[in-house]
Amino acid sequence: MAGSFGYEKDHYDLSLAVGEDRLFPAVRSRAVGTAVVACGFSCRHQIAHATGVRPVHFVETIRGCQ
Amino acid sequence: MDAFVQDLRSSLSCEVLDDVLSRALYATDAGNYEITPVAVVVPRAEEDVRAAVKIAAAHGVPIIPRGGGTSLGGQVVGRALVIDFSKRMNRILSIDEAARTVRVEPGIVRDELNAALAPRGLHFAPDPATSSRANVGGMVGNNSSGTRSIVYGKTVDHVRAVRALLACGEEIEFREFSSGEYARRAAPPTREGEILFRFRDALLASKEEIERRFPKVMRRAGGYNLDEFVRTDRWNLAKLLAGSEGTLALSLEIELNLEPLPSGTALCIPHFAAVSDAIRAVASILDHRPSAVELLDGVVIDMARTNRATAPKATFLEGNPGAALIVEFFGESDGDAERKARSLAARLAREGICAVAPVRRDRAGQRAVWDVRKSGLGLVLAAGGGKKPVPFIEDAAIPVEALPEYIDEVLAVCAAQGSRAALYAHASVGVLHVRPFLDLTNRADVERMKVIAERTFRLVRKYGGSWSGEHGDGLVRSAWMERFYGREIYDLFRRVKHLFDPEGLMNPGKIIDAPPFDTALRTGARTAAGRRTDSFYRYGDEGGFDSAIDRCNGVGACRATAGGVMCPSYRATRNEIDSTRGRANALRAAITGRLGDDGMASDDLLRAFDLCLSCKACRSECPVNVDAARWKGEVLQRRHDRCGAPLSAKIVAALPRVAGICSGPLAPLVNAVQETAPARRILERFAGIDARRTLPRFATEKFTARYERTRSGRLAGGKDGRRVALFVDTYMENYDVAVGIAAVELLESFGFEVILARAGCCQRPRISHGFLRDAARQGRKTIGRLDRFIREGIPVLVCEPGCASALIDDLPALIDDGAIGSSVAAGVFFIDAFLAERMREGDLEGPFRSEYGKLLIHAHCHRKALGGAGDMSEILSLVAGLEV
Repeated sequence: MAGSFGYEKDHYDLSLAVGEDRLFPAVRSRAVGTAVVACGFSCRHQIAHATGVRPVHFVETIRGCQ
Repeated sequence: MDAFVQDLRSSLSCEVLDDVLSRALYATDAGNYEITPVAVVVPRAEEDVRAAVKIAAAHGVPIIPRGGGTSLGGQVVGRALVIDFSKRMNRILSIDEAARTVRVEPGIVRDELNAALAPRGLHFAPDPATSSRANVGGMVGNNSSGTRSIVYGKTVDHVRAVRALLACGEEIEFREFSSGEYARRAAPPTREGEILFRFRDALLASKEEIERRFPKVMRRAGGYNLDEFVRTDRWNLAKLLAGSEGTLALSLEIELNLEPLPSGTALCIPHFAAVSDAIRAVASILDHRPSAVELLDGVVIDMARTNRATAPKATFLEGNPGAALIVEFFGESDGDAERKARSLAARLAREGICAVAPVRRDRAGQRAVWDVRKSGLGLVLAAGGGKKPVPFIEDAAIPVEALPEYIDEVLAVCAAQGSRAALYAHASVGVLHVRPFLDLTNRADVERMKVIAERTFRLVRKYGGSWSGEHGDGLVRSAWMERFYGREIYDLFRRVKHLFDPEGLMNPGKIIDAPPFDTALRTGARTAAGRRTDSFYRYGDEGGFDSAIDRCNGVGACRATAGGVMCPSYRATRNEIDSTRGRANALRAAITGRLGDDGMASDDLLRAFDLCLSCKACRSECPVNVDAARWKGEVLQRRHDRCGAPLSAKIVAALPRVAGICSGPLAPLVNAVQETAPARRILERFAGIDARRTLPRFATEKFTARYERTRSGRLAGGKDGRRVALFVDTYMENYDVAVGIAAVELLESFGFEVILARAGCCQRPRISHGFLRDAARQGRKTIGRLDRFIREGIPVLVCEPGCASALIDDLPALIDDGAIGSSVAAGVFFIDAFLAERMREGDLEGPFRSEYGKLLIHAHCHRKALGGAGDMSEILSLVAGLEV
């Protein structure tokens, strides 16, 4: 994880290890029908890379009444 | 020393560290001292410890066992071979649930041990504030206690056995013996027999003096625990090793006593007009048999209520109290505990002691109170400007009935030296940590420290207290031992030491034969260096770059192995160098000239920051809120200046521009080409992008183009003139157009007219890769464009957290125009923060809708660093039926 850090050749493994600490397992074991929200572009992209789940941005999850 | 290190390397298969940087990282703890060790060994198993001790003994090099390095008195600091148990010797060896005991290696973290025990309803009870990273070995060495010591006592009360390694290489398991068994064993020729025999001999001869000189407070941690042997004939020398601070032996295995977890808890939080009123109430509160009584003073209360991170949790404070006590009760159930809490509140009201005493029974409510108590300390630590709340008189334990007078007198002593003091912690047992604010880089303040120490020492004697209540002696209090305990006991301490360690190799200079307490101060090197290091960021709040580095006091929250996210690189590697504290110490080494002439651009610093993710978790979770991401930028920029920036960094820093070219009409082609093997090889080679990563795909229609194309359907003129500017970031523009469109639709659904702020790049890529000078120059333009919206009263909203933190937090501290920086910092918002604020003001009408049923939120680290995910959850909680 961690923005451009996670794309860097020397930091790829650490990035995945950091994600595996809690985030990726939580994403994989989420209840059925649960969408994952992540506001960072590279967060969404790296979660998708590691878990196959495509997260959405907060702004995509809610609407007002107008 | 070269021969010594060579011997270590040839005999040990584990890490042996003797480079300048590594030794600098192990030269401090959480106290005021700094002594560079000879070398550091990180054993993988007992064999490594045995071999290292043997070699050290052969070379006459002293030995210091070390765990988390969070001692407050310089206990693990010295010119010695430091053996770091924390990284690999941290296993649970066996749990005996029926006997309620556990055997562990010394390097296990207290909270990790308890996490493993919790499912069995048991815990290792002593709970120091550092429990998330304190090692059990260190807790035994220091005889640590904590918040609930009134129920659980100190670590010595929970140590059943220690399998110890002596400097001579002998291994002995110390445990409890009946008097008969002790007598049978207490005979030479074995080393154990000799120790048992001579110890009994020496102790019995001074039994009366021990009774007379050891203070009668439960919280006595100074000196050796000789008082454990006067009122019982069941002797356990493991209790002598407890609190011996590594001066007698190293532990290889520790057996602990476990306690059942309380089945119910509740809190009562009595409010007071002044600290003195709160302290005076403690004695009556103790009649109610609480499990903890902790003080929050007015300074903490004020800061907790204004600090962004703690304010939402500090809602249990009512009105404007000058002090509050957190009184915890255990019970058969939460209801039972609550009854006790209510009974206390009723009595305090009835007797006119305090009128406001809210009770909390729910878990979340209690957690919020404890969070404030814990972070309250950090708030105080950060409050001193150039002065820091220095621990040196902080650990006195005073009989509770004398506590009010003692505190009044101590605060007067501090005030007479022109120093205010922070006050916190364990009122229940007379251990209120008083930390006077001093700047030890200033020689006059060192003199003040000496005066305050001397006068406080006399007060502690006068009130029958203990000079150390839980933090131990180390380098800070050992020099007082002879005066405190008298000649006879001090000589007995010496004989005990000699019995275990005749060569004087184990952590010398602690407990006995200590240097004066103002030697080897860690600020000494800074005083000598006496210069201000130039920086790219302004560090206005911290009082300059050097002070920003000095804020790290070594308390090691960045070494926490669970809870929060700090520090991800340490969690992954468990190396001190990859922790935030390690980075701060590396920087201190650099600015004091220990890493060479151009230390700030050295290979060593680059190594220390290599794995820093720039996530800014430290910015919010570190008790003194250091920002290692900024430091990394400082180091990288200097490195670029000296050696030229690597091509990969230049490419990544240029990505926003590249993305602008690749998205749109060229996107299908670029997307197809970039995934081909040759392209991946080129990207990996030159841009440093790992070929295993999938690459984000460019959008075939840019966000702004799509926005223009669909403009006819847009809201023109918001409800009641509501207008906001949406910051067009690189990602929504060139990759994830759906986010931009969704943001517009979301804002319009709340009646806002949306205008686009095409202001250029936030500079995050340059900031992260150490192009601070360029970021400041280019960012000045971005900030200027945004300022135009803000001056018209139009808030600027940002969807990408990394962009928002750059605009709100980093750029304002980087650009030379402070005024425009502050204006933009106040007018740019994370989009969720803006909506939550308007919602709280009642501006957003429901009902809120969502097409989702359940959401799992991953908060961006920079969002957490600047406020947290609370705003998002708060908004989403208003959607009927949505689970978050």
